[in-house]
Amino acid sequence: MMKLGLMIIINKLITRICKLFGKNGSVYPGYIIYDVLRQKKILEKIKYPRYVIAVTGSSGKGSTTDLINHILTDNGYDVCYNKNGSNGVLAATTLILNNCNIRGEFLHEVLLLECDERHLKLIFGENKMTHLIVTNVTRDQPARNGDPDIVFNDILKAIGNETKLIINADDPLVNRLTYLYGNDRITYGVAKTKDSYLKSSIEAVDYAYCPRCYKKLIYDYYHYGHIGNYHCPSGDFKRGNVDYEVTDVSFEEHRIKINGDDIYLNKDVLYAVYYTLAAYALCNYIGVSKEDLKKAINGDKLSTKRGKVRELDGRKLTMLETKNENNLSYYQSLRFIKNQKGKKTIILGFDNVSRRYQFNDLSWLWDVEFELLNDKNIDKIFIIGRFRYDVLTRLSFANIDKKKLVLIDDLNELIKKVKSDSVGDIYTMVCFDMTANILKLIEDDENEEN
Amino acid sequence: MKKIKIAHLYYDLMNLYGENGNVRYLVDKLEKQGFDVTLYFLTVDDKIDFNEYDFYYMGTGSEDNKKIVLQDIIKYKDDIREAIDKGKFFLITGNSIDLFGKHIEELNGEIIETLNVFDYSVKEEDFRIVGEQFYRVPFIDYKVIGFQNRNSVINGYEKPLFDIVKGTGYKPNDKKEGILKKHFWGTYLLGPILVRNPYLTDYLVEEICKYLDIPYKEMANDVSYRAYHEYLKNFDIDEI
Repeated sequence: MMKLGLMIIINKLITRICKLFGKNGSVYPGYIIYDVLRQKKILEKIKYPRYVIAVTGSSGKGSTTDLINHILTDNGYDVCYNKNGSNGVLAATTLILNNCNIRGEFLHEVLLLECDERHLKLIFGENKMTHLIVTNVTRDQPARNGDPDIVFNDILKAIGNETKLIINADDPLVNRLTYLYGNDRITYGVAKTKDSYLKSSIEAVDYAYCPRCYKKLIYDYYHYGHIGNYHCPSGDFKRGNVDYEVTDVSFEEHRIKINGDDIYLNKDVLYAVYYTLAAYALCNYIGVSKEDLKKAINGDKLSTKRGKVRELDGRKLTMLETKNENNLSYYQSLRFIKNQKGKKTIILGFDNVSRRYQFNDLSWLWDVEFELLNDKNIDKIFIIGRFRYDVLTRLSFANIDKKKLVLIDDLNELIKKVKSDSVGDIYTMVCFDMTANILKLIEDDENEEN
Repeated sequence: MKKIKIAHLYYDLMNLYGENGNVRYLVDKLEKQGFDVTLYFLTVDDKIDFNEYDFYYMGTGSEDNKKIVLQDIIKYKDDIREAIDKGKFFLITGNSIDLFGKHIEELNGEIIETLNVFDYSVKEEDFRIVGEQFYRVPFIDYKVIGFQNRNSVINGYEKPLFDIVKGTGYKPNDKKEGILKKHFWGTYLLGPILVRNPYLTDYLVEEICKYLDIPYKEMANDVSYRAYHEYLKNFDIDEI
């Protein structure tokens, strides 16, 4: 206990020092405790509160966590959560120790963590989590994660008998949890929408076969990737009915229905439907009434952090942060752009595939359904970044009019070219580092204009 | 117009790394040569006739999917060997080459019999081999580029397709990689290697033309050639 107290004090001290030096300090203290002082089991010694809620999956976990925090806080719960999005074991160590007293007792009623899917097992030993949401498991950063089966098997290592599961049943890979575990659980899913489809133009789905008998799953419809409504022809496995279901998706009105109740959608994309549904299901499961849920989501609306909207030269510019090596992140951005009205100009490309590692595998470009850019309302597509010729090669196979494709060799020329050579609303579909670069170019341009 | 049939094998299981790029690029190149190309997507429970098609492609899959494929493809082992001996074209990329050796030794020591087309054995490891690769190949001057991400190694094979310039061979510290027999090419390189290596694809297309007895036409360089050169420049690697 003495040692635990000492570690908590060290963690808090280092956090203060980081802040004194103007650093965020969300990871470094945890690094000292976990890696340098080799306290790998320290999180197992904490006396956790009544609710320990983890949200994991390949995408959507940050937005789901934000909305759960919003709902629970609105309903009077005392929530501690990783709002800056640092979601590995070092960040979790920092956060948890900073919110304990020296006896190792956690000081809030709810610990809510967005967790990296490969780190979940390092953060929580068995039976530490009271609730676990698994949003989806899809191909994502393969240089780090390997394949989706590896990710799923890692998630399994953190699940104990007591963990209540909140399962996205539309994802057959995640839905395996329903037969692998006898735990208390609820399921959620989205009914067919106007964007659902029967067959994608690229067959790059991450999960196509029944996990029990290896027959090919039959889909009634897909939402994206392998997410949809499916069943095994042998009757061994299916999405089936879910406990919480979204119907009547209206992006125009920012509305969905969850089990018949009208619920506000703070972003007009499908992934927002999923994070709203997951947050609603979890909060209702732990006791927030439907009335209180509606008040929290519909009354006190949560703004979104993604899809920032600005202006460039009097034209609307929407920045869609889009993750490399994740074809479904691109799909959602492409689908969003496709659904927008009027003339459009796109900016896409990257200097580095990842900010987490040096590898630059480019194969995923062929898993992205760039064919969705074959749209008569698209005026120009500006291709930027170090791998622009690889991107252009891929786009030249996407049935897009070649006259629309513009290579930008010098990024400093981008804004000038966009202004002079294109029309319509502008959409950037780039990863984090390039978002910052483009923002800087826009700000420089604004300063020049002034 | 000369017909050519391409079989994309287990397209819905072995498709982890943009594998569709290979067949799309190849179809485009063959059409430019004047072929009437038909692409067939074949998978578990389809009847795959290894006499029927001229070119067979299989890509990388998850470890679970690889084993689903093995259960299905094993019944064709004699047909596959015969097709290779006849000179049919095979491009087998990523961990699908694990299926063409004698057996796979799993992490727990269990041995799984595989197609036994080639005399090598595969061992699954508890580490992954990940990274950019730069190879030499005897047929062309230009280097071959690509990426590996795997957890298996090959032992006991001696007819390599590639020499390693920078990267990993059959196993760590090996300087050879790939499987070569007549028109069978196997490699741990994953994803759209034909797109990434337009000069290698030109050679392959020329070989296909020879095999099917039509004159090869020089093709204009499209943007994929520029992408190849820029990539090497990015990594500061000589082209030749």
